[in-house]
Amino acid sequence: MGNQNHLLPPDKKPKKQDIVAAQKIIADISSGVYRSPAAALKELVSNAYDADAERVTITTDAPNCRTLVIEDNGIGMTVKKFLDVFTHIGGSRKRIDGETSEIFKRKLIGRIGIGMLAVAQLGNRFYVSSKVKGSKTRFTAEVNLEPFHRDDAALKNMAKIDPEGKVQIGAVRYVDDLPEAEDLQYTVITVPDAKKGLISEMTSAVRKAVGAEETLSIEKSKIKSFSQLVEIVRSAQRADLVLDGYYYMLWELALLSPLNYLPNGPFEESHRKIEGADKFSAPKVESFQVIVDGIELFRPQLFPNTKAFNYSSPDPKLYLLNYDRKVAGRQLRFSGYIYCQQPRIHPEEFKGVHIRIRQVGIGRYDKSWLGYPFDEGIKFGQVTGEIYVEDGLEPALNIDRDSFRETDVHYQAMRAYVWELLRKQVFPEFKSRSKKFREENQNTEASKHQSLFEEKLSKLSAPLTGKISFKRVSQPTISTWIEIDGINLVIDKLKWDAFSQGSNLSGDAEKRFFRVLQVLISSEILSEANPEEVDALLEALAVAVQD
Amino acid sequence: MATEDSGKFSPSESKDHSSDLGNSSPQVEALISQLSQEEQQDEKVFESQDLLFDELNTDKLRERETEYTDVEKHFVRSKAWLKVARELAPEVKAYYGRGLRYFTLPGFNRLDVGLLLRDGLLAVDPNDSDRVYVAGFEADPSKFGRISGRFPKFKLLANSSVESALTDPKNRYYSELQSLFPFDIINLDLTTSLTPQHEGPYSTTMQAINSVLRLQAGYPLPWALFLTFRNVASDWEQVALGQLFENLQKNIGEYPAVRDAFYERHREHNVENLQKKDIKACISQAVVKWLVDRAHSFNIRLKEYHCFEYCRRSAGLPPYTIFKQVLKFSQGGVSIAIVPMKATPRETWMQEDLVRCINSHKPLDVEERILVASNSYPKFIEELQNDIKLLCSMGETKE
Repeated sequence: MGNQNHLLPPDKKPKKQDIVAAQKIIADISSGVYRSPAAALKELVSNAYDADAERVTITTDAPNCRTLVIEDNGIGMTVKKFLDVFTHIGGSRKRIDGETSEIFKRKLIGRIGIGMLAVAQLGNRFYVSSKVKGSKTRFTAEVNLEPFHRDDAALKNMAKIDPEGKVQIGAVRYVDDLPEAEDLQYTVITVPDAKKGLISEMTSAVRKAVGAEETLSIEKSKIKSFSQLVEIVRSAQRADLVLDGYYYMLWELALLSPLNYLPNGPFEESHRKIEGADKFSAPKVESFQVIVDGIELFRPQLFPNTKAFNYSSPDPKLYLLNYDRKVAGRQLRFSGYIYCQQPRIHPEEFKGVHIRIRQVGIGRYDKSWLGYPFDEGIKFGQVTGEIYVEDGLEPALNIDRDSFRETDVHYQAMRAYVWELLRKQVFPEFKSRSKKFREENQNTEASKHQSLFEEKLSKLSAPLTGKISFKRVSQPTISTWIEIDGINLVIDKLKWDAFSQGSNLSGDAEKRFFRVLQVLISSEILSEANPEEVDALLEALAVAVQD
Repeated sequence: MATEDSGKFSPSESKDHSSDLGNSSPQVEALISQLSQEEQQDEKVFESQDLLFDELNTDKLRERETEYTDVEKHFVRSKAWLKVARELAPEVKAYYGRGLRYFTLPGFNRLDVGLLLRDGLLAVDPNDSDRVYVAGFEADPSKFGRISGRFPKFKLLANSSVESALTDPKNRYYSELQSLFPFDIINLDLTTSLTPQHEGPYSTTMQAINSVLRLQAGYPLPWALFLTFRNVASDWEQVALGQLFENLQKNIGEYPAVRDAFYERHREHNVENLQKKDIKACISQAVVKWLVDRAHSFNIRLKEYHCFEYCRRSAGLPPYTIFKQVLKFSQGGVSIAIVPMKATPRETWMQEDLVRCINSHKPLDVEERILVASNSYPKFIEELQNDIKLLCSMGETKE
């Protein structure tokens, strides 16, 4: 049936009410929605990646951290494009020109408009200058974003709403046509007066105020390469216990940015073999570097962690992920790995699973494995993983680009795949491998012990190093039911069964019983005793070796 | 504490921790006080205070962008500044075992720093071998942003006007900068007059120069001050200019040796006549005389003085003259025959300094010198240009 609603008289129609969002929501978003300085910086790095930059240079005046500069050598922006970004905040203008970047054909990952707002979290006032190759000029702009996190500020702003419902969140002033070398291209964002809260975070002011001290603090020491930092974290229980705010920012930015792993990462087999590592191929990021205060960043994952180097356990194992199918008419394609090791994964921050979309890390590790619905005990802390999403899932990203909308069908499908793998393969195999390792270990230990016993036995005066057999004994020699045949011991089966049952000897106690007996006979201690005396001794011995 | 009788928790017996939590440690209190300064930051933004673009003259900004490519400027850099640095370096090395500590307004390409670096003249930051002992100032945040990514890093790169950092205790770089003094070379490569029209006669620039001299006082080794300014009479605050001229005239009247030197140098008997004949020379002479006076008040004496001038011609703008003063100072001797009173005691070397600053005031016309040099060596300009290009590319990557 067609829609008859328009034929109804007005009083018969359902009532209608417009849906509106409070200006405060827009205001809140404009103040920045990023959890940490690194999460905000990641957005700017993503923009640079999309702009075909080969290098992003982030400069702070650490250890003071009063100023922050983010510069990239990407294709830059014309002043027109820059203004367009600021007049379309909230709506991504990025994908209008396609899904890939112009030069390196990178799959686009950022959202310029939102990314620019990331700067607002670092400082409410900032300056942008950009230059496009081939042009003889650059522009420079001053952006003054009002501090909307203050309720009174938001209230004042209510008065500025224009008739079209747009909310003024700040102002941009710019100067264009500034002379510049024609062959240059860049975008530079300067935050000249970083927020006090940001400075506090970067300088660990709160930690210091309560007396905390970190192993690596920018005030005390400066690293020469990022691998130094990774090695320190690798042997730590928690990265945030050994890194100050500045170095933690570096570490987290490295985790989130589209970068390569360290040359020896993420799996290093020089200390420990990793089963399945030979089949793993790390995703590569071509021609892109992020450099913070002269230090080039790399993805910080490096397994196994130091404590696992010599730990008595099965070798760590790697399970590879591979998924490629349509869900709800949209392609979902991802790869990745699940890595298991004993003892637990260190640092704590690597426990769980980390999802990357088009090379960019989304939030921190999810320790719950997307909300895994089974209790796996301590094994849960011994697995880590990464998922590299190539297609799909992006619509599930929340506005902070740091977390997911869990009701998204792609998210649900990914969950099902990962959970099933964990439930049906990883954890059961983890447990069976542990059990097998334990048993093998025990057998090896038993064999070593037996050799040692035989070696010591052979040093006695009449070593009884032969086998022990159970059969009918017609002429017992030592006791009434034991006979010595050269270097072998022959036990009367019937009598032993009765003796063993009467003495309630377990398997292990039996082993101990015969070993002591072998020692006594080999040392000829029993040679002077008559069979009845030996029988009595054996009964006492059986009690002594009981569990 | 649970009691045996009831087995229940009794709140009255528990220790009250709330008062402990209410009394934060002094460290936490200091932290909260620091964090609370964010309110002022917010206010500034909300009320649109201290916006750099409020005072921005877009023409001047465009003009400044091309300055670094001037061959005239590079001539002074490479022939005068570098020469002085080379002269100072051995003594600093012998006395302190380090390179030169340098204070500058470097511009994006840091050409002056590049020159000193190339010659291995700069000191390395003792706390960070990746940094050179340079204090650099850039007020334009975008340009500051671009400089900050270059190598090697400076001991201090400040996004601030140099005048404010030197004179305003509220400036966020003030304390840090004070702690970095003394320097071996201070290069105030300004693009304005020393007393802009909108400021009072005793401008922040002049106050900053005075601060520099105060902070350098007591430094046992010779050091240099490079001072560049626009020499356009109409740019200057007229009362200040009048006072500078008056001060020069007073010395001419007071000291016969100064009077003779003034006549010998300028072929005029008084400042008024020189003002009429050559206002630029008069301004330059009065400025250097003032500098020497201020130096004397901190027991600093003038060892050597050179002056350079050239005209800048930017497209679409009236030409103007740049003056570059190069002064070498040393610690002055103190006479033990006189007890210092309120007024600075006149030492004999002070009069010698005044005579020296007049005798040596022979502004070298850089354009003419380049022309002459090019006539005898045609590649002279090309080589200066190539050197600029080479220095521009320095520092793009970490070596």
